Amino acid sequence: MAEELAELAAQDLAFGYDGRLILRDLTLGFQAGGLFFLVGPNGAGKSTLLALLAGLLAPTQGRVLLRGQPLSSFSPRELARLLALAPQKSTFSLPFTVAEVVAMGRRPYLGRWGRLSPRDQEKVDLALTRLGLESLAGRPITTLSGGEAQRAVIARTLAQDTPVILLDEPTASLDIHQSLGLMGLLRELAAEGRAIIVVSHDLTLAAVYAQEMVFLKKGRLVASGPLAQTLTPELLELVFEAEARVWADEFTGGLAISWRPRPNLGPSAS
Amino acid sequence: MPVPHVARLARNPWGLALLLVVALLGLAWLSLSWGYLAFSYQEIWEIIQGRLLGRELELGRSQIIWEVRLPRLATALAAGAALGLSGAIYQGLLLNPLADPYTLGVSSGAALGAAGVITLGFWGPAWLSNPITPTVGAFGGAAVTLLAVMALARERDGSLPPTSLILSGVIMSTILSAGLSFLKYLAGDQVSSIIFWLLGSFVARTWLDALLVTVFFLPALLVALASAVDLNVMTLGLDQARTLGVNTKGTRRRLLAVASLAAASAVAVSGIIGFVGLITPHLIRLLIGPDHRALIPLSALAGAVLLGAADWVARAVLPGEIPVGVLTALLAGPVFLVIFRRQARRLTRG
Repeated sequence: MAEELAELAAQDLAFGYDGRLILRDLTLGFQAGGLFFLVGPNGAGKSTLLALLAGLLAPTQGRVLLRGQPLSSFSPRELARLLALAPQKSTFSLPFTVAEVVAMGRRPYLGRWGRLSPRDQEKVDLALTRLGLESLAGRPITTLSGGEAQRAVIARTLAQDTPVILLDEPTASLDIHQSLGLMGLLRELAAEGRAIIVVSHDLTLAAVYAQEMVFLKKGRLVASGPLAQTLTPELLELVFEAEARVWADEFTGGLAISWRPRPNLGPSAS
Repeated sequence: MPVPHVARLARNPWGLALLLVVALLGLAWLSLSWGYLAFSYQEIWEIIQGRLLGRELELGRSQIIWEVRLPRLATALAAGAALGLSGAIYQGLLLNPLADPYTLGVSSGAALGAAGVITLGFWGPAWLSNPITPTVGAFGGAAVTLLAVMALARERDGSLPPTSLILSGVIMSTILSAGLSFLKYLAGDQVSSIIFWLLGSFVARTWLDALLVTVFFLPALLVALASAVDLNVMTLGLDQARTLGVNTKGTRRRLLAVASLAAASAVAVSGIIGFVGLITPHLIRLLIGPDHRALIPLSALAGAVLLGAADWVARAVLPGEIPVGVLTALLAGPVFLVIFRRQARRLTRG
């Protein structure tokens, strides 16, 4: 993969502390217009990779390139106009309204006193609409349910209007109806020419919506590439230690996975 | 569209600002005219104009306004504004409704500094016993305490986690209180002068006191206003603020420094006046919501009105003058308890 041409790329990336590496030897590229699913078992280093890609952690080795330039060469404001991160968990301590929280996504474009221009307001309204939050716009964010709050955080990320969007477990508190809607939206965003990178545990959704897969295990890259080539029973068993079947599903137009049941949480027979 | 459910009593910060300015003017008139000697509106105005333009005035009456009541009012307003401002900044920054100059140990540091200088004045050189030195001592004490608390709370990567800051503040306060008790013990018969300073009062404040607070308050207000949007974003969490382009470390340090200097200057001229910094931001947040662009200036304005009013009541309304710090604690304490209960209940309900 030509990392230099990628919108966002990792080069020989490694991260660790106290002499112990959590991630190592990661070289990866995320192209514009792609919807990437980053998957792997718990503790594979997915969230750490996301934090490195977003510039929240400094790599122990290697570097992250955004449009061919190292992340450190961007000012915080420039970076925030190019790359947005929707975290998995947010804690809201103050009763800002949903509209106010989403408007905070415009922070990288605002002047010192934070006045929203008509264009900023347009982006905020569009983000609220795309996440179906219009009717909640005036509600204090502290009174929302988990799923509503998660949608508000994603709307804030959308209002940031960046070519690269990272999402950590965006469907974790959403029901199936909302998850499908969100996946459709991510597909739309990728079609607009953005690079969308999703960390997810939901392989069923990945099998339908991902264009590219990235498999991590124990801090190492196991495989990456187009969905049809990487989502194979062999690779799934290698990464997740579970027996799977994968087939083309005409109902979804994508792939489908089913798993062989296991008796308990003990070590697997293989 | 359904009616937005907004838990705010007044949606317009400008309306509240106007109301507070009117209250401030009314309070100024009451404070200047009421007292042992009464003054009419016209006479007050003539004295102020006369002093500013250098006209001949009746010495006695003009002195009461220009050298006693006006500097006292100005000091109380400036100290109230500084306490309200620092409370709003601390609470937003530390996301802790209990954060104020007291929780961070800044006030205890100031108190120990002042008491130390007063005690030294009993035995030390004569120049130590004058009205200015406790102020200088308070200021030094507050600054040293803040630096110590920040050093204690600082992580290896230079970050200052809110919980560590508050814990360090509480630990420092405890140590400083012990030091204060020791000083009171040392002072023996002269302990009353320390106690009186600690109670908090605006008796015999001068233009210099008002100026000292203003010099620290105004830059703090400007810095806070310029960082208000970033402070809003930082309440979402520091990582989210960073991905939105906020320099979280720098902003936090800058805001802690200006809030503490403003609070220290207020404690330095007025002694210990509790609850104004704690309660004012709560009231304003209840009225107009949490946006710091409005919350910060309005907390300062409301702090001025509250402390100015408390001082007026302590001086002119009650039969005998009582220290204003006692009054604010007696009045605001129960209000704070109500707010605290409401928040605790909301938290337990989830």
